[in-house]
Amino acid sequence: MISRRLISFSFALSAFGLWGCSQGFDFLSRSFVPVTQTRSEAIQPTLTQVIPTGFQTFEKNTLSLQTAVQALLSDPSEAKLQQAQQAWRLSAESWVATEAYQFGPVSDDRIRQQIDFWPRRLDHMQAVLADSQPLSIEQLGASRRGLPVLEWLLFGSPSAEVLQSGDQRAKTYLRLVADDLVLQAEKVSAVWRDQENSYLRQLQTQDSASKLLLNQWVVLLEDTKNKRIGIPAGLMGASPAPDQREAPDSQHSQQLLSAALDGFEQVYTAGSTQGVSEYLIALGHRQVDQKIQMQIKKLRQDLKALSQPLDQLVQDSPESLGPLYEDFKTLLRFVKVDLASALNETVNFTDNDGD
Amino acid sequence: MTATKTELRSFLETPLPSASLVFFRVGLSVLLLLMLLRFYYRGWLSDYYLKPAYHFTYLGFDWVQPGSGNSLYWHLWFLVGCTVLMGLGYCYRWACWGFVLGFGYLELLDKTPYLNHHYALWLLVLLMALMPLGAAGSLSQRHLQPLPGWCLWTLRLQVGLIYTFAGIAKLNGDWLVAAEPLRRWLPALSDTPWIGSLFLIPILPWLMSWAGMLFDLTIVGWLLWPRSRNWAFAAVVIFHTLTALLFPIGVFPWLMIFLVLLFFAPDWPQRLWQRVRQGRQKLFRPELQLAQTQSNFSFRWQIPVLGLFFLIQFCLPLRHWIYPGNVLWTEEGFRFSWFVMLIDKTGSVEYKVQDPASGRFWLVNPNQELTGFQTRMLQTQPDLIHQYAQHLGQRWQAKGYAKIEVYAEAYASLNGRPSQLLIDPQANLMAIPRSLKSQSFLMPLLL
Repeated sequence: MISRRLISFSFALSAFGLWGCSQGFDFLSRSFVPVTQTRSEAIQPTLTQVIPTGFQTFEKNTLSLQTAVQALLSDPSEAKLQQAQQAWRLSAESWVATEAYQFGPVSDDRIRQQIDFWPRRLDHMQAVLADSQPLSIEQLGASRRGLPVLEWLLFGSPSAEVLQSGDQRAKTYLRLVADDLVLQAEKVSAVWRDQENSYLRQLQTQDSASKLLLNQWVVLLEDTKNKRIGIPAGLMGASPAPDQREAPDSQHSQQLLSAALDGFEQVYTAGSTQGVSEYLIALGHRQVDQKIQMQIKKLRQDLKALSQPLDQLVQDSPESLGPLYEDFKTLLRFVKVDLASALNETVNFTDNDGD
Repeated sequence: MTATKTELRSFLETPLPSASLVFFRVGLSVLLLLMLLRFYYRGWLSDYYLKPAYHFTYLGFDWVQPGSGNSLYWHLWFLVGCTVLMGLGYCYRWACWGFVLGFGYLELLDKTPYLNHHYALWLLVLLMALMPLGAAGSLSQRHLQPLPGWCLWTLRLQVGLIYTFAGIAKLNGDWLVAAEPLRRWLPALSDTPWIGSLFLIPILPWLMSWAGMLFDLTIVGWLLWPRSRNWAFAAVVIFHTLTALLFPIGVFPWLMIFLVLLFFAPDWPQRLWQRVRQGRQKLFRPELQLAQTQSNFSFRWQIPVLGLFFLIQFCLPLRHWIYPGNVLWTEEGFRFSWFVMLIDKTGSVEYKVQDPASGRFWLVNPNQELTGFQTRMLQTQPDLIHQYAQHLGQRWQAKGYAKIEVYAEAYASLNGRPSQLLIDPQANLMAIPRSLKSQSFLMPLLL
């Protein structure tokens, strides 16, 4: 009697199950590859190789910039100014390339703001030059130091003053900010250089690195979409604000945007051998990986296809940046929704129970 | 028919040893107390109710708003007081009703922190308020006098409904065929000490999905059958302890383990106590209850009240069938239906507020006003997206834009599917009133 009931129950249950299954599951065609790596193993090359290398490159470039600035200040000339400008471009590009992993002490200790306060506050910088008090870097807030200040001093109106002989205030300001940038870069690099430091060990053991990375990518892509394109080009409702573009004096905004994309790709693929990209494939989410990689390629094509440099387009025909804006929006969606889903990570850190 | 009715009534009114119910009353109070204190110490009162500038109230309950200043903290301490009194059995009914109203108020303030176990706890205290559980083993009545059988069976029925509906909700392709969301949840646990590598076993998500479904659907039967009860309880302990260790689901697993004790013989705490103390001491003079054969408590007004209660409890979890589409996607009829651990959604929302008169538009990211937690909830729940669109529209109307339109570009991924539109981006959400009817702005789930 009991076994007959059990059989009937099993049949009913199977029928229910089959009915449920009949609701269509194309996503079952997802590739099925047994996962062999734990999450922390998958993320290891990113933490121990890609990120430290990125910050070390930035540190190296700031040292070159400091040297170039010292040379310029000791013997001002047009050629030396150009060398310093080139050194600034390399420093700025290498810094922007690290945006995809600017979490941890660089963010928590507000070092990021000391290096690149953006959008810049031109009035704050002008006030420093206009002031008559002796200059001291400790007295200067984040908006009065870092890469945007160096850009203004090297490419903007004060560059003429820098080229003059004598003891101009702009020169002192330039030297102090260049020296401070090196100090900040060393701080950031030190966090990741020492493989035994507590922050890195904590990251490696607490399985929080993938969540931090994902959230940082969302921040990077949102900032790029909104601050680098949307707001300056007026694609977000308000009037165009070309002054708010990233590098208005150096006209280097497009290269910095490309550098941000490069940095994201570099850390996503972990140098094309391992990393989140490979891990996604191992989890059976090859389609998500392909979508992201294809979108990165599309964005590169968009950038190549721009009829004029970004700095020019923002001023002359901002509406032509619409497709680039939309394509960044799509990449943001792939990361924020599809990648987060595939990795089972949450965007936004919240402390709460489920169900 | 009349004979059956009489027999049923007699069965329900038959006095039973009250030790199990006393244990339930005290134990539930302790759990509630821990939950409330945890709520306080984690800062959730502030995060969920004080920090947000905007609250997602339930339809028809927009008038429920948080009090100013420290009043919510006083409210929490009021709930703590009710919980303590419930446990002690002092002013028992007042304490129960105080908790029901007070906790209900808190839950009605904002639906973003809705949790199934909060709802379960509220229902259990509501049932307790209808029962004379303060009349035994309490400050006002120390004797363990027997209590009518309907008290125990009512609670068992409620627990049974939770398991059964949670099991029925698992009869879907995502859970059984795709093994989602466990298929993505488990590899993410691969760094768990000692057992992490087990979560990389490919077939494990399917095994766990089917086991979970069978467990939920059948556990009540195994618990009711005396011969399987001990094994079933062991299964309950293992199952819920595992879920507690692996997933952040708060007190839910411990609550379910605790509730399952109701299925044991009504005098199990005494037997256990006597076994522990080897019969030398007895708790609450249990000999009194054994002599009692008739209940002191009438069972009249409770019949229609409990009838209505369980009618609602049967209908609410099934109401999603009235709505078209996949409930896991549309979430119409999702809350109060015991959909436990069934969905994993990620999403992204951007609003476009447009003034048709001037053609001007504003893109609004919800996290400009909402907290991180609210934003995360909003991105995947269509009714929240709709509600917030209306709020944005009202904000712009207050600025002088009388005929404002609000659109949402909302993408979501359900249980690992590719991201797809959740809301029709052409639908002016300002023009669609909030209601319990199926909403036209919902996009169908494509895969």
